[in-house]
Amino acid sequence: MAASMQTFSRVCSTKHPIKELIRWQITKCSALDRHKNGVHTSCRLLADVIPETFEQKTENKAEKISKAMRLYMERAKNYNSMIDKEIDEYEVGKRHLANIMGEDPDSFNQDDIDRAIKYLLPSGLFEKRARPQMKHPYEVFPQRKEALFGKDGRPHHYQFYTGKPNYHGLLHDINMKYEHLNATETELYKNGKMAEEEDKKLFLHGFQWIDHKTLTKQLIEEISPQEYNRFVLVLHRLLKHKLSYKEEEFLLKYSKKVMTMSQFRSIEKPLIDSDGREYSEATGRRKTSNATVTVYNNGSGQISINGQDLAYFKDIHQREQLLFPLQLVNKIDKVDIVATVEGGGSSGQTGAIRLALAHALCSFVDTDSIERLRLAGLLTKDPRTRERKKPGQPGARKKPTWKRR
Amino acid sequence: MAASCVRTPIFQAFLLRHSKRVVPLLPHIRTLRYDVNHQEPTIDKSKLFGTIEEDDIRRFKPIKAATNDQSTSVFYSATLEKFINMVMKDGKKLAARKIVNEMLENIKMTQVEKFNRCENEKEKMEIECNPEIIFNQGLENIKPVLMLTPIIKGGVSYKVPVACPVHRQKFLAMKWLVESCRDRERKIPMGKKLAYEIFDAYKNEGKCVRRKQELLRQCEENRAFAHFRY
Repeated sequence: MAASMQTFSRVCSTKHPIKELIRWQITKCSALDRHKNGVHTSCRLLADVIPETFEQKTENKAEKISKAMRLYMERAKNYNSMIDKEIDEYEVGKRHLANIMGEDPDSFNQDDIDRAIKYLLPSGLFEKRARPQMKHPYEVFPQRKEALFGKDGRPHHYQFYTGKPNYHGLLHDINMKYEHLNATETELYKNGKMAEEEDKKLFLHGFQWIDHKTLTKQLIEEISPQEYNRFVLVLHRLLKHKLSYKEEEFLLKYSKKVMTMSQFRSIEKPLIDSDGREYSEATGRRKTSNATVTVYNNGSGQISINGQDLAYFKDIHQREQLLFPLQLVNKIDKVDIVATVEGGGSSGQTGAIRLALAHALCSFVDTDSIERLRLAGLLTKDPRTRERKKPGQPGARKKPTWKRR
Repeated sequence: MAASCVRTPIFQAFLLRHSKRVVPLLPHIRTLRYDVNHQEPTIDKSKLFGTIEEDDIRRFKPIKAATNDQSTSVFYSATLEKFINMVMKDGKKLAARKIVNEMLENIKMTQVEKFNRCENEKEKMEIECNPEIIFNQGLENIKPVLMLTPIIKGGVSYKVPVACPVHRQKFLAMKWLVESCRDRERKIPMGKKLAYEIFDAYKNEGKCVRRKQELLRQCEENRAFAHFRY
């Protein structure tokens, strides 16, 4: 205590005593307090504990932010230099690859690269992502966001504090557009010009909204399935608005063209017999039956199943099933059919022949008829099979007698 | 979509109303051989040859295979096929089909006999000889408009009258028809019994129609609980 009084008097001599007293934080010294330089460590200068002015306070905060900003800039610089290096390597590698393959290096694009890699480094791995591949660095390295806040610590995006600014900003934008369209609609009603807008309603035919993964990639943020559903609902609401044609460009940004199912089917040309007759072959399966059907064009309606007539099937309904695809495309007495079928029961064999017949007929009819066959469900293989028996049960679904206790 | 919110019925209903073609609804069936995306096949020939819009969902989705009973022929009737399935026992489709065909045959024979015997020209025109029409009309007469559902309120289970949905009406009508025939004497073949019942139903008489009226009477009695359905 005497030592501290000595230092206090030493300090007091130079400055105002009362002020100095306030500055000294004199706390209770417990026996456990350690001594440091003759002064109890519990007696500390206030200046070290609390900043004297507000400017000092913000200066510290600004220091911290600018430090963070500096670190960010450093990281961004490192990342950019890394990406640039990778891009250079990629470009050089692309040219080398083109030379190896003996092709023009200037017009060598990503598809050619894929083909070349597949040829030079064939892999039997089942997982396609584990196979050797050469992609542009932007597709390999994950994208990073730009600086989220400035030197003063103020975030650039108005939705920064939601944690997912891009996502919430997007939802906000869509809603703003919707409200703007509402206001426009009201104006048009007032001026009596709504009737002109009747025919301009937007239908995005053959378009689907972008899927979850694409949205995550676009926004560079982790989007949960619930958030994605919400996004889709809000977009759809905008699309359903009467004046949505005004926002067509915006809506197309978040849609992707869907292929019609008919585009997936390749048009198979009929083969030609040794006699010069056009024919086509197809196979069909149902349950455990396998059928092979050959359809000859320009026939007279002769049907042969395993060497027998249509009478191979005793039930009229099964015979009707064979005629189903013929009836739909109007070829009942115009083609000859030779079918072989094995395995399964009568119903399974019927289904197998029907499927094979429908597929074979596709070579002789136009695309509209093929679409009709598809819509009627004749070109789909029936996936239903006998369900297996489970252990502990007498059958597939049947359970032993239920006892209360 | 593995989102837990997608499975709730409220969300499903919201989706149904707002986005018909956007998000595929999860089916409420335990196991499905088909993918969720598969659409039902179109069997109606008039619809197949009619206009199908460009943005129709069927153009972009795979279609389920047509069953072994479906066809676009003139003789196909979805109601009859359903009825055959309800008559069927132990998977014996041939026997069930035979019974239903016999029923139709019996109806036709009776009506044609009546037609030939009739002397009055005006009455002759009114005799319906198409057995399918008689069958459908008979079913219509058996279909109940209301039904009773148990609703628990305050620990007590009340039988509340509620509008009967269409698919339930069809099912109940067919079920009652088959059940009443099975209860009758075994010496008469099933096809004949069905024909008798259908004729009764056509004239708004008989066991099945009585059963329907009994149900409607009960609904009328429990009218007081009708507000419980909310």
